[in-house]
Amino acid sequence: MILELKNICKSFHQPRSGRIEVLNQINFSLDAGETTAVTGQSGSGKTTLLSLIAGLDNPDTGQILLQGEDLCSMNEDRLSRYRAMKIGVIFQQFHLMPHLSARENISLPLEILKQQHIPDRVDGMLINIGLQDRQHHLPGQLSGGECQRVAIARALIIKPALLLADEPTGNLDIKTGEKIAGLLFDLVKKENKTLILVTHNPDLAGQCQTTLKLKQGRLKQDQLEQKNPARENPA
Amino acid sequence: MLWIRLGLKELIKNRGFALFFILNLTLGFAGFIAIHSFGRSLNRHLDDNLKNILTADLVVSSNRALEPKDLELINTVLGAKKQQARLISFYTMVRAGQNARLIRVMAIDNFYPLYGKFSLEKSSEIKSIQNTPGVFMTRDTAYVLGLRGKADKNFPITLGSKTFHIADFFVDDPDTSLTAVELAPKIYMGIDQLSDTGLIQFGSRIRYSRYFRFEPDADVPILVNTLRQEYAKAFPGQKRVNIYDSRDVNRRLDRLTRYFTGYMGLVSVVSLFLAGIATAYLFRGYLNLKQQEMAVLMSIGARHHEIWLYLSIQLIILGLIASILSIIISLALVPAFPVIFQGLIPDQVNLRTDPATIILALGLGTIGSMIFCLPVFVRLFAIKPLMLLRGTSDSIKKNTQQSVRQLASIIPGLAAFLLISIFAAGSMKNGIIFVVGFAIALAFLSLIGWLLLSACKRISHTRITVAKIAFRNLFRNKWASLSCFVTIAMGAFLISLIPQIQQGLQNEIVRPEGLKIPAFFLVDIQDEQKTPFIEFMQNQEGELANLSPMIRGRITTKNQQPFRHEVRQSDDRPRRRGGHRLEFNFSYRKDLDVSETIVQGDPLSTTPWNFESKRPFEISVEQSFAERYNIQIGDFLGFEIQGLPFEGQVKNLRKIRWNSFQPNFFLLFQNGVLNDAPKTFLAAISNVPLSKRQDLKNRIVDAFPNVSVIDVTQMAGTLLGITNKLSLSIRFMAWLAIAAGLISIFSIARHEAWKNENQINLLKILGSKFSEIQAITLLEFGFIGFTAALSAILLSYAFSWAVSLYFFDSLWQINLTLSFLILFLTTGVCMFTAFTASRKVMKSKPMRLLENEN
Repeated sequence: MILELKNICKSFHQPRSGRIEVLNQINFSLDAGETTAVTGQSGSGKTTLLSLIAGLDNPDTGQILLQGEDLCSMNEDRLSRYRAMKIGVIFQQFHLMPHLSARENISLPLEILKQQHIPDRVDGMLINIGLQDRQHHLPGQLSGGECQRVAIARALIIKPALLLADEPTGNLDIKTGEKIAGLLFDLVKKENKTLILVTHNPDLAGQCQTTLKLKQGRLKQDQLEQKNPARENPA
Repeated sequence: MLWIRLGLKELIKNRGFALFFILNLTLGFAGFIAIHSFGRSLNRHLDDNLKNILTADLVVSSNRALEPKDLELINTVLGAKKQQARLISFYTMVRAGQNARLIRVMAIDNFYPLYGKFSLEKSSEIKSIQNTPGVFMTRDTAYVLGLRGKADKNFPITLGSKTFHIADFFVDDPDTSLTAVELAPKIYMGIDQLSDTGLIQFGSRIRYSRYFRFEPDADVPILVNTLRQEYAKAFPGQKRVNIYDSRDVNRRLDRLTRYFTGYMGLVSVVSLFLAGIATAYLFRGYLNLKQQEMAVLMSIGARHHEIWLYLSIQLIILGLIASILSIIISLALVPAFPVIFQGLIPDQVNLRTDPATIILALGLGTIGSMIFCLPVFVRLFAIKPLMLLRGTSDSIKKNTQQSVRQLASIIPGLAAFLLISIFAAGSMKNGIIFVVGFAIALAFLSLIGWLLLSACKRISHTRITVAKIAFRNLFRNKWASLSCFVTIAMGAFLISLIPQIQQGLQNEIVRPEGLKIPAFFLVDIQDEQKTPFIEFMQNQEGELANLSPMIRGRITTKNQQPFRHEVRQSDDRPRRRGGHRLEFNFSYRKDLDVSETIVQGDPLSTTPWNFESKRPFEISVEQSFAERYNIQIGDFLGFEIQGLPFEGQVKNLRKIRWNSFQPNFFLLFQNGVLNDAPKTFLAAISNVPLSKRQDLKNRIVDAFPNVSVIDVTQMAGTLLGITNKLSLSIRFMAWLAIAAGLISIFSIARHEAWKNENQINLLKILGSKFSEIQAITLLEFGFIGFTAALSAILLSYAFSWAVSLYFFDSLWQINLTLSFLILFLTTGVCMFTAFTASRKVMKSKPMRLLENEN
């Protein structure tokens, strides 16, 4: 088991409506190499769940164990480093550094972690995402699809134990979205990564091995681990 | 290296921000560094030339000729290995042809000066004026005396009852102290020639000085201290002589230097402060733009301290560039100061920017920019990568800890401001007064600004779209609008305040209200000359007034305690080493002069005091003198006059308008006490037409050669010249502050325009014309400029009134023309600056809206 969430609860205080429970008693676990989609209506708590798993926020109660280590017990700086080494995050808005080229954006996490053989690893990743010709372009000079490829490469370059994607095709047209989804799943399979993908898109969710449906902050028991038939035996 | 590289890339990408940040800091630093550089150059010059300025290692001076017992004591302490020179100096009238003029006589022996030298046109020797009645003077002095052609050189010059001729002209003399502030030009003569002039009489104010030069290995400070101690032992309770060395000259000159540079330094602190506001504002905007990128960096592993490093490096780079630029600008500014202060400071000051100034500049650039931006910097703690998933708006919510951190972050800035002010003013007291005054002005203007901007909400409820949007922008962007308001208002406040105070000062010097300024002020009229002088004046044009007796004496006790221990401890004015002054001039008069008013106590009794009564006589004490020596009504003061002890009691405290140029005294005694004591007289002569003044002066000098005639008009002219130079320099710095303010406005307006780019483009899409959008910007900044300038002018009236009340006896006058000029110029400049700054954004295509949305 690579990830385990135990009794996760999260609520927010709203000035007018008081305390709102966003996540309530969330329990689930994932094995290495597993791909999971988190779906649900707007406001169902998908993004909150993703932010907790990414260690960007703390739950009110419960534990999040990644490779056996409790994220909730780490301080900000340790969490930052742990996240950098173990978790890759892909955002809907790409969130690339605008003044860095595609190549520099991809190499940035490795430089922060002071890793070895950076140029070789970046070259390999650029080939994987097919952007060798555009590697010196700034994000402003790239298309949306190309930006998301760079974001995927930046998330994968550190060889994370867990890959999190927040609506990775939400900002792209259908055709580009399909291409990016294809690339993402190919790379995840190739690198044998565990993926949690938050999406509204049933087609995208359908490409994951399992789907978690959130409704009003709860995972419904009967839908807790719905296997996607299409992906059950991907071969 | 990663963070330096990233920081540099970031700055290159954000060139606009970097440029304005640097420009703001540069202008803020430039004035401050220039003043500092100038002050240090001046101090260095004075330090290097201390012995030459003093012309000796040690000086003993007194207002009476040194007696054999003095010389014996001096010789015993100082030993045989020394050279010595003599100087007797005093003010008197000199007559040359049809001209008479007050001059300072410097009677020297053959050995003067022990350090330094005369630069004489014909390289004459000093002994040439010892044996013959010759004098050295400058060509300027000769010109003033009417000696213009070469043939005039042998023209007779009358000093007292002796006639002299010009032996040589000097270009430089050894007495190189700051001479321009002196009352009269110098004429050197041989000391042996003095006795025949008849100028040294009882009561004449003459300084007898002995100069000593020792072997190079002599420990002068120890000699000075030993001599002082031996004097205190040999003549307890008496202050017979002043003993000083180059350290005392250094202290005196240091005070003068501080006087010159202190005020300008404080004004430069204002521009530094304005620049600080603008840089903090710019950095805040920059940080808002960059918080998403920082969240991205954090999401991929950067820790908080690495983000700090990343931003600090950017600030340090910007600060360093600003420092280097400000050093370059200050190099251009510094040469202007000797021109401004021409005549007030030595001519040959070698102006250069020394390593200490460069270190100060670099320190200001790096630490200063960090301190300015610290309140914004602490916002970094609130940035969390969570915002990347949730959006920006709710990511920065202040909790109590952050609020405390935010408040604490202001403290280093305030402390730095206080320290810099004290440093610039050269005095703790003046620095604190300045900061308090500045804080009051800032608080007042911020409050007014806040109220005005809050009122904009009400004003925005109008049907006029342009006004609605403009005023809505103002109150919805309160922080930005308030920054603009305060920056403009502080600049306008300075510009308005300085001429306002100057006008009061000029009025005070030129024509004090209700006072009749005399044409001449007369000193050293002997007792026996009193009646002849009154009779003489009856036949002259002009009115003799305030013929006041003057008796010299010592204050020995206050309430039966030795007087020297009673000096107020809190008085932080630097005093000469070796004790304070004990000898003063006393007088008596039946009625107070119009320049005097009793502020506390009752008038002195008009009944003459009887020596046999055994009762203390009544004393009137000048207010500031009483404050300095902690004298109160009812205190008993002991005196020694002509060797006789007296005791009096303080009956009242008087306020004197010293600029009235009337004979006034710190202490007035009851009638009858001093009437029979040997005395001299002071007097004033008024109602002399300008054309007749020289004639009258000449006649007085002919009839009473020992009487010194001070031309008050000339004196007022000299004082005005000095104040004009000072006010010019302060205005110069104020304009620099305004320039810093304008750059701030430009930066803020530009930033606001970019921030409102979407709104501007949306308005265009919704059908607004370019002129309407333009009108919104002009109205916004015109309103800010107008209200800020108006508030500043009103505040400057209040401040200048307070200053005039405190310093100039409430002589205060509004300069309406200047106020209107400042009001309309500020408004116009603000509108123009904002329009120029936001023009590019206003001209951008509405397409940008779609691009920005994507």
